[in-house]
Amino acid sequence: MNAVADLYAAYSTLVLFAGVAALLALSIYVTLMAGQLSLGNAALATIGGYTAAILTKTYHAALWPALLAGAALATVVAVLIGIPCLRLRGIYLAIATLAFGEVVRVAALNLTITGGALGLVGIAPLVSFPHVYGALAVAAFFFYRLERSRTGRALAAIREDEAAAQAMGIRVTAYKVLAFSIAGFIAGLAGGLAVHFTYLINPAQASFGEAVTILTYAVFGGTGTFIGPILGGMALTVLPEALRFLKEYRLLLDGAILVLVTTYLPNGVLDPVFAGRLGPVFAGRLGPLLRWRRRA
Amino acid sequence: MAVFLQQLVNGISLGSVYALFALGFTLVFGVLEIINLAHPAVLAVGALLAYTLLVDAKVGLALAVAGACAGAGLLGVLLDAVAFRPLRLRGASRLSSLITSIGIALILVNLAQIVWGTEPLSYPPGTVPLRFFTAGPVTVSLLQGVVLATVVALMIGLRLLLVRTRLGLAIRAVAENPQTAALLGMPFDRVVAFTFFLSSALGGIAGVLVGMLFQGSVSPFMGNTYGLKGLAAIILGGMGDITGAVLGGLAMGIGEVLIVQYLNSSYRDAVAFGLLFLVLVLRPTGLLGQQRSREA
Amino acid sequence: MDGVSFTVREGEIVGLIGPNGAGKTTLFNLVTGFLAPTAGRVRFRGADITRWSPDRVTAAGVARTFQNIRLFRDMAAAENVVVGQHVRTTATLADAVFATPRYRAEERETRTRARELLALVGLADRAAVPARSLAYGDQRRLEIARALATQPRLLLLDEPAAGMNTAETQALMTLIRRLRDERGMTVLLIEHDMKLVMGVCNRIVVLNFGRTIADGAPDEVRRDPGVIEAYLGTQTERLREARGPSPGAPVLAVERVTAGYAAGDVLHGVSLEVGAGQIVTLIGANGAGKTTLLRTISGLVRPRGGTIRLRGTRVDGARPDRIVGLGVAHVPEGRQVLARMTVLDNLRAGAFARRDRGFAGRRGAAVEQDLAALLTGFPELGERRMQIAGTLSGGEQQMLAIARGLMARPTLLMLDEPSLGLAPRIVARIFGIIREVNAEGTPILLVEQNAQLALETADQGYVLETGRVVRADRADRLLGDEAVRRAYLG
Repeated sequence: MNAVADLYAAYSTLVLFAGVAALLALSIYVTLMAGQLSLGNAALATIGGYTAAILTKTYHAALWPALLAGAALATVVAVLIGIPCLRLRGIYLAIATLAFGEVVRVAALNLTITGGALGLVGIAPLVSFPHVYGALAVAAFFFYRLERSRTGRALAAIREDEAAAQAMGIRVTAYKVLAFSIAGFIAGLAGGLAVHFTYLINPAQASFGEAVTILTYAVFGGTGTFIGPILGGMALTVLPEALRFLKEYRLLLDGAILVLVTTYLPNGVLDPVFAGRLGPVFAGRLGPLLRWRRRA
Repeated sequence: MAVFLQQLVNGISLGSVYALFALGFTLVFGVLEIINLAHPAVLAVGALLAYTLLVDAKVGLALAVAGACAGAGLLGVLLDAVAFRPLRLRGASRLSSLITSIGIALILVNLAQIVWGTEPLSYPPGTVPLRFFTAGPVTVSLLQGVVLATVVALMIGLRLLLVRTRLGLAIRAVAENPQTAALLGMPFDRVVAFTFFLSSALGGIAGVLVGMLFQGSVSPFMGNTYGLKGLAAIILGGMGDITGAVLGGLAMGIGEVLIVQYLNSSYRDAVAFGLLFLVLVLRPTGLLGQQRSREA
Repeated sequence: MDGVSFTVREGEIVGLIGPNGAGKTTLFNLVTGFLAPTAGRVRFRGADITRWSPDRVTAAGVARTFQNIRLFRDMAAAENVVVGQHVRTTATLADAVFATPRYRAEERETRTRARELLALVGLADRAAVPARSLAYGDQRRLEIARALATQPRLLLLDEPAAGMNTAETQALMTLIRRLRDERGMTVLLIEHDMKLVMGVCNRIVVLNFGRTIADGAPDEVRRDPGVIEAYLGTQTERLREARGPSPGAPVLAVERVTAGYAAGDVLHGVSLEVGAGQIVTLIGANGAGKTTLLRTISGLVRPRGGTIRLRGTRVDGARPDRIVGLGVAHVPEGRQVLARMTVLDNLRAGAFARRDRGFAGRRGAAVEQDLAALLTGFPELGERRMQIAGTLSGGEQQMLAIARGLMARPTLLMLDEPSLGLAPRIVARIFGIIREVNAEGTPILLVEQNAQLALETADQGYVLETGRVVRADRADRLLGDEAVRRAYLG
């Protein structure tokens, strides 16, 4: 009986992780929709996580207020970071958000309220399947509507050609800030959720490595439609477990994924499916159905 | 005052290594306008190669450095051929190159782990004899002197290469204006390959110098902190500007040592990255860099 | 831009013309908020819009197209036009998420309006095609439809007819007239196609060197001596005798070359020859394909058809460094000096591909000799040998670019618009240099907008119009040819 319970416990955490990964992937996706690569989402998730954890642990707050508070704080920080970074192009923005991530990590490492290097432990197990996947479902629905909206088209236009988008009367700055704030909210929420089924949080979660992992989710799954990051996040969480014997090669596989997908499948692993190159079954209908767009 | 001067000396010694490393970044950025985030991994490989040469093959220091330099350089050429050139041929965006370089870094680190293990290593003590020179309040170790001398020699060599040779002329011309360089008959891909060789060779030597300066610092992961600091150095000094890279590196080294001395050392990194963030936001071209605008 | 002033009255169609580099697109950028002027004002319908951001300018009712076509390439044609309506629609993200009636109504309306606009420009059947896959002329029309979607009162069109054939241009002219007549739109357009400009505009403003040099009805402007001079140059003495083709094989033989870019072919079956010791000039209006031909010869563009022979060796399709190695020196449009390097470095770069250059570090004696000779022959360069090239004046940069070309001891020197943006006195000096260089034996292929000057200098002339050679004759015979004047000024 114990063995079965253990097995279930092990897998349920994995399933929850997959859901959180999908959310984190969506958070980097929304800024990519506007053509911005932000590598600060791990840090934003960490902010959300610490906030929610402190609220439930020290102040005995209820779950959802704590989660929303964490997400809200992360949103505010994202906007504060985003505004000065708005003028930065591609690489510079990526580096600036990386730098921001490092600042957060070091701050978490040193502040007493965050418990220093050990972080916080013993956080209440308040989150289970319905929480994580409920949130994911809402997020997915949100993106589904976003991609069919005037706002979504504005973001796509900005991504294609900022100057032309401006010439169409689109207030580019405002939309970039919007993208950043959505990213902050989702990342912060994801962080808060994760904390309550792993029971701990520490500064390493804001590291460069974590940020890269989130990027991998999006790159792997493809950024043509919101389904890509979701599937990418889930796949890249579950696969390494299934391939646990390759643990020693984890980094290598992550790296190989990034290189191979970027070089040969710039629109993600699901690219052939959405681009309609996989024969009559999908016959190019799935793409338009999901408003798939070529990127890269 | 004595302490300050001493720390200044230490800072210059450390900063010169950062400068050498930053030069590698800047060379590639100048020619391709991409940030090669695999450069830190090459630093680590260089340091590890030297370790093998010193400890297993038991060769002298000079030969070990030469070997590390050549090995790292060739690795750089390989990376260009395998990862970056295909992207160039496809006309991929610069963000794609950034992502690929991250992937390469992961692969290299994992491979290094497999070959050299994860434990931090040290060069055999006595590789550079332990001797000190005192001048007034300041003490300089032979080691620091050797490091500084090596870096200075390499920089002079690089300058001579760039300014006095035909190849150097080609590198500068391609960095300045690839189209015109093509019209002058300069073979773009070969120039890029050589630039990668140069950049990675310098990175490899930087790795060896780090290993020499700090006991127990040689490991597959040693590139991580240097990576971000190298980035900070070139952003401070201006991307694509060689003098800027040198000044930026020195500034990082001196600044870091002084911050540890006079401020809370655990915030050292946060201050560095906070500064980086500010520089990016306020003056993204750095102190010396030039804006290469490709807008409307 | 130097003190440019003019007004556009409601309901007018005004053409903005002028030689290359006169500042026309800069003017558009100033009006639409992509650039801020250092002095002066821009007023639109009474309001001062001088430093407004582009999105605000569009909201106020000014729309534009771009010289280099800036469509949203991965979106379908219809979607591009839908995005154009962004500024006139109001559905928020909340509306979209909850699928409110406002959202649904707007989505319907924007799609309907998009279809209407596409039909107006003749693209109704290509609504679902991604913009990147459309033909060049279609892309231009799509840009217009997208601009119209912003419901402007003033439409700024930047070279709308570039790359269009006669039929398409006619259709465009009809469209522009319809926009004014049926929709009360005011239009300001930049164009090089004189048939269109003269045919559709009420008034024409001519810019040169960032100043207005004429402003009036088409017929007036066409005959204005200042305008004719700006485009064609003034008649001066012919300073050298036109030489016929030399005996022996031509140095350069271009036969029926067809070439272009992804968007479409620019050259259609062009043939031309440069004989030993000749100066051959290629003239024609902007967009005719002159620069493309030079780039095809030097290998930057791969020809789709035809052959190019250099001293008998086929070079079409070869890589640029090989072609340069065979002795072709291409001095590009806009000079393109290596701006952050010294004059000396620039000159040395010119010798890069030479075979007699010596080993890696040591320089060949012949190269050093040439370098010394050029520094003496171009005293301005000699005086400034250690100066950073980007700080030289326009004329000095042109000299540097030519000297750099000469450092290659070329078998053929190709010059792309050497007079561009230079004051007449400097131009005279440059052309003196060109004649001297040729006198010493180097054949020259000269592309020039300034037809007068080019024909006075050259032996042979080719007139290029929309990618085809329409006249080829001895330069002195082409000088007085009405056809040339018409090709430029319609």
